[in-house]
Amino acid sequence: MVFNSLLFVWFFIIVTSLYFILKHKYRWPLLLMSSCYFYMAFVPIYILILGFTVVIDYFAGIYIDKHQGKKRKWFLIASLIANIGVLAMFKYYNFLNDNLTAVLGDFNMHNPFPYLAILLPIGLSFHTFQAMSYTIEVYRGNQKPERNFGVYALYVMFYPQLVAGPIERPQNVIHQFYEKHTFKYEQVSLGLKIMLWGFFKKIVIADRLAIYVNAVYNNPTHHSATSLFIATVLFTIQLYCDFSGYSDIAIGAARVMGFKLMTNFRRPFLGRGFADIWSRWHLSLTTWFRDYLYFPLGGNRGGMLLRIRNLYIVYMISGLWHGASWNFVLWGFLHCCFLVIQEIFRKPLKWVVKALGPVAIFFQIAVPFLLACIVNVFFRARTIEDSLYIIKSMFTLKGKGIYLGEPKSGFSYIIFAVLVLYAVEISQEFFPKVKLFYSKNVVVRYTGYALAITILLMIGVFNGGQFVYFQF
Amino acid sequence: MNKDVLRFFKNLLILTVIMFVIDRGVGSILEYYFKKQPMGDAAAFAHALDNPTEDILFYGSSRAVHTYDCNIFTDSLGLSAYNCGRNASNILYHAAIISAAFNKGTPKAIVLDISPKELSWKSGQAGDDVLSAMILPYITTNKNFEALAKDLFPKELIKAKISKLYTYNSMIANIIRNSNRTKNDNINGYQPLHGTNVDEDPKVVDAEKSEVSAYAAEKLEFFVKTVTDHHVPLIVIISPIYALPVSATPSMIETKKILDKYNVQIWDYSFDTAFIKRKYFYDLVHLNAKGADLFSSLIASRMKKMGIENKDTAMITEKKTETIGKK
Repeated sequence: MVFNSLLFVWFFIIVTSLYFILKHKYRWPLLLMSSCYFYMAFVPIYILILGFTVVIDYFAGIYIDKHQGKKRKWFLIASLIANIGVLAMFKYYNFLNDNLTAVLGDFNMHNPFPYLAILLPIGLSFHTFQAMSYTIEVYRGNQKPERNFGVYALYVMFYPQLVAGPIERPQNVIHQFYEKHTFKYEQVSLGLKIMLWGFFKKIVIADRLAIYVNAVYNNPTHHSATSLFIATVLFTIQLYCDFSGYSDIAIGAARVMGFKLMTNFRRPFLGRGFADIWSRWHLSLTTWFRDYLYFPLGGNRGGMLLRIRNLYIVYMISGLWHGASWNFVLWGFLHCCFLVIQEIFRKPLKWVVKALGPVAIFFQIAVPFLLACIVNVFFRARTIEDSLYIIKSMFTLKGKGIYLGEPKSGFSYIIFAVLVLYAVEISQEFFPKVKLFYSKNVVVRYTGYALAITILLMIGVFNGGQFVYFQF
Repeated sequence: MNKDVLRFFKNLLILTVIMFVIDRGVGSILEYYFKKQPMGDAAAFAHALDNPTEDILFYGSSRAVHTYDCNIFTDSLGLSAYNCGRNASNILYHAAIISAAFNKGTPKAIVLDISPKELSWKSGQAGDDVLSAMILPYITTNKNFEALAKDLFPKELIKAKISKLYTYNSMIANIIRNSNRTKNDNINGYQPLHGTNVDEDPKVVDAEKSEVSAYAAEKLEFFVKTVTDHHVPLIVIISPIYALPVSATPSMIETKKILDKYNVQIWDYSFDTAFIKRKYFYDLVHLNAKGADLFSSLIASRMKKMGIENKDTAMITEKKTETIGKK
């Protein structure tokens, strides 16, 4: 079930109402059943895959806690192998197989492994990572194993964040299932406001921009450098609004019931430099990699070279997490390159910033953003060849004219949507006292709600477009 | 009941009332300007819906809109003409508006332009939302459209009945543009396309293999029956496509079956080699102004041969010729 559907609206109203009506002891079973229904609305059979990892990790948690020394470690490794195995089977098998075919082909050899026509279970990477964080935290002693199988299953399957995160940690969530949440006006209102902004980002901005981006990226050879550049910048904004919109709806839906999920985005396009952008982008994943991969690899210890090595490993694996293709590996690699360059030239860059004075902030924000947009071509284009073609076309100023979409009037909605996004984010970042949804003045607040809903109805795209991150 | 719950429902009610007022207020303003647009797609569409009285009426998708130049037909046949085609529409839509053609009189001929996959359309496919957006503003005033929406987009129909703003979703920019435009690129429903974006040789297109939609076939039959019941000559045309010929699609086979039943001919120019030239095409499926001129002239002369022309004008022309001959 997608959030931007009428079905979800009914689902949300019914589940939330029942949640507050039912006695506390019946609430987790309600949420678990609802979450199963929510997931099965996509492809019912894939609930079995989810069930498999839930069972494995539930018992792994208990056995890790029971044992000491090497045995503990073996249980952790077994659990990680099971989780990564599922991911490898469903997400990476065909990718690895294709590469094997290519390599063997170079030696005139036949690949004996068949191609499998398997559909990637929705949100597999998200819930697998969330499940892995549980066994790792139990192993580290930061989380006691959950004895109630249903509550543990709910931790992995909690519907708001089941298919596209935020990727939670057990310490933050599991205890909340035992807390009794009463209907609190402030809580419910806050959750609904977060959801409203999430829907706005998804329906008004992301899906609107997607129409233009898809038209250009699906036929790059038919478009000029200017159109390709516009589509490239718009894609990065689309990606952000699509994903952060989903996160906001998830966080808001959970908040209405009293659950606090972690923040996933903090206005990344206003980050000053690459490191700052990444400290604001998809926080639940970046902190996951930091805690469970970067630090175990040595993190910042061991000197500059080792640090750079660790960064490359993390970013390339992060790229692969996003999709089973070399495009994504290259995407991660290039982002890391910019990060490393910025790190190496930190001192000269500081001097430049000092010399530019107050204007520096504009360049600190705009330059990394534009570079990130160009790297994101590898994220959006279908193949590396297409990506290179698009980048080359942009830099060689191929063709003339600007494609404005069909109908052309649609482009005005795009400009409007992007302006609204920036107006909101700039005011949140630099003028936090300026508030609309959160104003203390009731007239301003209601004007904000009415304005958002009116724009949503007037220019929102209601074709039920899928969320980009579902494919991960 | 908990104080917080009461407070929540009280505020929710206030917001609902505010939204209802805004929805009806702003929605009505949009509705007014939408229906009063002096030019553009919607204005042409309003004419097509509002009991057109021209002698020749053209129906079809964007391929009709950009192909049939009414002025050429008027000049050639001495009959008034109007292009009732609409971008991104299909037979379901044409069937919904055809009855308006007979409300104030009887046209002398009706031309329906179809594509080789006209009957393969199914609800839920791409283009679904385009069609629903086209129909929704008229569901309260046009029973045919309401019935069509009920059949194809029941959820959209409910949404449109609840919210006026939703009914006019994504239309505000067009309304503003059309209300402030001084140049009309829409000549009696015909919209010429200039230049060419075709930069390759024609290829074999992937023939549409998808099954025929029984619903679309039923609508085609309804269209044909409505016209033939009024004893109006119906000409069904497949205008040129910039592609190499392919074998008949399931949609084409079914279309021919339906037309045969009512003794209606089909003029198939889809892969006519006389037209498959870059200079005549704007893109792979639309003729440009040059191609449209040529094609309109060809169809007009063929219609003339069928006897579809203004007899008075024809007599005057003949007399003039005789007089010049005598002199």
